[in-house]
Amino acid sequence: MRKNILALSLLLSFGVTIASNPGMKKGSPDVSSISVLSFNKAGILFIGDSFGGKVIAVDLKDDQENTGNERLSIGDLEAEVASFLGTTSNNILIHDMAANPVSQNLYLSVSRGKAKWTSPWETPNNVEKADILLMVSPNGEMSEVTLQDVEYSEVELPSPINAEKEHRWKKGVKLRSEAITDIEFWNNKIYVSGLSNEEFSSALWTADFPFTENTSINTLEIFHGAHGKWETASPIRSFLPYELDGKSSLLASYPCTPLVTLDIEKLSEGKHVKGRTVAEFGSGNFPIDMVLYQNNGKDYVLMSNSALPLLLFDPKDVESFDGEINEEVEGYLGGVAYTPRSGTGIQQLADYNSKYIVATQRQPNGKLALISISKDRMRP
Amino acid sequence: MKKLNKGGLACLLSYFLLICAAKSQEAFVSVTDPTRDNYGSIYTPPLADSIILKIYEKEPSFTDWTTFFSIKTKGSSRSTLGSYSVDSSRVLFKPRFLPDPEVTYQVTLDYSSLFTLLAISDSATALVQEITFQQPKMMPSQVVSIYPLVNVLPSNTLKLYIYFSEPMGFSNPYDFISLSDAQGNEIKNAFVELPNGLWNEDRTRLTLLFHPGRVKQGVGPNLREGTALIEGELFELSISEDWTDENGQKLQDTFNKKFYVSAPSRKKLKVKSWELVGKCEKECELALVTQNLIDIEMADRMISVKNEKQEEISIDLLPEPDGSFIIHSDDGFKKDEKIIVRIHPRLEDMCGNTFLNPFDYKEDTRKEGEKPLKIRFKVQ
Repeated sequence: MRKNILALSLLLSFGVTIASNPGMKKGSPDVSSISVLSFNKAGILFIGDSFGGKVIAVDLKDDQENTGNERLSIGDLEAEVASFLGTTSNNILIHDMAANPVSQNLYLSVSRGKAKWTSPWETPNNVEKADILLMVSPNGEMSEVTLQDVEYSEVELPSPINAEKEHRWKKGVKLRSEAITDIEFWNNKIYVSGLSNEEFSSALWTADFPFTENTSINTLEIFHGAHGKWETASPIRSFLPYELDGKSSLLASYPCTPLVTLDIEKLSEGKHVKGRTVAEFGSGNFPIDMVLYQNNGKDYVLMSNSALPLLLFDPKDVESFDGEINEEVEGYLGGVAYTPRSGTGIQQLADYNSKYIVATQRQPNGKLALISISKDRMRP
Repeated sequence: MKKLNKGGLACLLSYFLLICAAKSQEAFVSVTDPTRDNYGSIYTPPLADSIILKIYEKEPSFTDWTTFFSIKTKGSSRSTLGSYSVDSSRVLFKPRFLPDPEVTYQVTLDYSSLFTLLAISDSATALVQEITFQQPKMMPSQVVSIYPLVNVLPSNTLKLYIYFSEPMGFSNPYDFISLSDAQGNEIKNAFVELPNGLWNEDRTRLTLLFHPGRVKQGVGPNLREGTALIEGELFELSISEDWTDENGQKLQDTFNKKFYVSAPSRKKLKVKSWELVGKCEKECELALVTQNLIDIEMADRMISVKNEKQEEISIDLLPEPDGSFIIHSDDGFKKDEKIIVRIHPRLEDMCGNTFLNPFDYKEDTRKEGEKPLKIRFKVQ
């Protein structure tokens, strides 16, 4: 006991602070780009750093439980962020959004780089490195979240795509910004989609959380019904973990717009994994975000898109879909049915509280609004 | 008691002074000069020492500061992010991000809110001021050189290169370029006026093409008007300082190049007339002496150097005022090193002559070829 006290006093006298989360330490993580944001249910924030090629888990001590069911709306989010950062809204780029399920504080990764946007196919992460993390409280107050002196741990992703590799037809667009496209936490692991340096670029990394040495990479192959061919170059844009037929699975959306299921068990069987394409939602479209929610005790998935309305589908329909799309589909549509919902221009989605999903939506007047979508009204 | 009264009077006097100082209607001080270290900082007018002390002791939160000293982009209700502090007499705001020179900031010092925060019962009119910050000044572009650097050009010169220190704007280049004879008469229709000019990618090099119809013998414009440059005469090419660069700034100075015109150069190039001269001090450099005004931009792509092992040596070609080039290698050439200079046969001089054909070739004598010409050389 005396020894322990001595050790503790020595630690304190040398200024070593002890983190309360296993595997975490106190300090200031080196973050190159706040490309992707995701929370687990305990309020740990996962930051996908595409340019740094790593995922950083941060405990921001934002743990005051909020069980409220209020909506959150800001009429002109870009203007409010711009004003907060002392500039105009045409400079503001919102890269990702995630809600802390414990506190209902909303987190935005932001940059002042919109002027560099040149192509409709570029994501904000292609345009600029997000270097600002903002928090919007349930009453609309905005603050900057500093990553100085926080509890954190990090995991480096093996073989993220090389910094010099360019997109094969988008001249000058470097693919490193797509090293991480989405992160989800599920059963003490994080799953990270993106692009790798492997022969087949599309990749899914799996890491234990709390982080250990155990990080693996799978390369992915899917059949793209709209293109009529097997593809390995495009990364998953957005995905959700879900139990399908009692099996832990991932529901993944790809550009242009196949919906694919991946059996999590199969990830450990071999390095290269083929997904099962269960739907084609339409060509010329870029899925932006997906959120799982309940309406009358039933699960639904809502998906936002660059060129399609808000799409709603029932994961049970995915479960009951026996077939697999492995040949070209007519009219770019096929497989699991979806319900289009009014809501064009919706970009980021986040499950906010038991009543609302929050979303950013480009309004007809050109402003980007933060809106709350009632889950009660979102059913097929 | 007497002492107390005296103290009370002093206290009352100092409180009065404090309020007076607090209500000073002096303007804010803002650091608008981008060359200053604390660019973007805004200071309140001087406040009484005791007020400064009270603020210091209060340790206000960001929201507290903004209740009495707020900086907002004009028309916005959200305060701009930054840090607050006090010095000996003023409150200082330092923005988190550099100010946007295109934005007007509304700065408010609300005395009443300040007094409320410090629990002083008084009120005063708020001081409100609009502040803008200066655009960081860029160094205006200037003409670095006009190639060829020599001051004698053949009368059938086909092209010139104008090099600028900074990228140029999108004005019509030909509005700012003039060619005149020794008497100051402007030579009309001397150049091919392409709608946007013939620029390199970053708009720092303009290719100025003499009208080829006037240069090529026997064709209409040549027969009607003759060459723009007349053998034996003096000409002046002038680049006006009114030409603006990409930042909208005029050139630093008007640039004039005077040159004499020699006999036309109508023969194809001959590698036999080229000479390599080694210049060895600590390291060796090579001078390539040609009898022609070689197109430096083409030469960059079409002249290469290999060592004895057939390994490519990375080189730069640096034009000299006498028309020769220095062949520079970062690694330096070694004395007695054997090298091979390889020249593509379609390399042109500034009159359009190549190793295969002169610019004025006869149809039935035209030659094609890709085989490189070689000069073997021992560095001495």
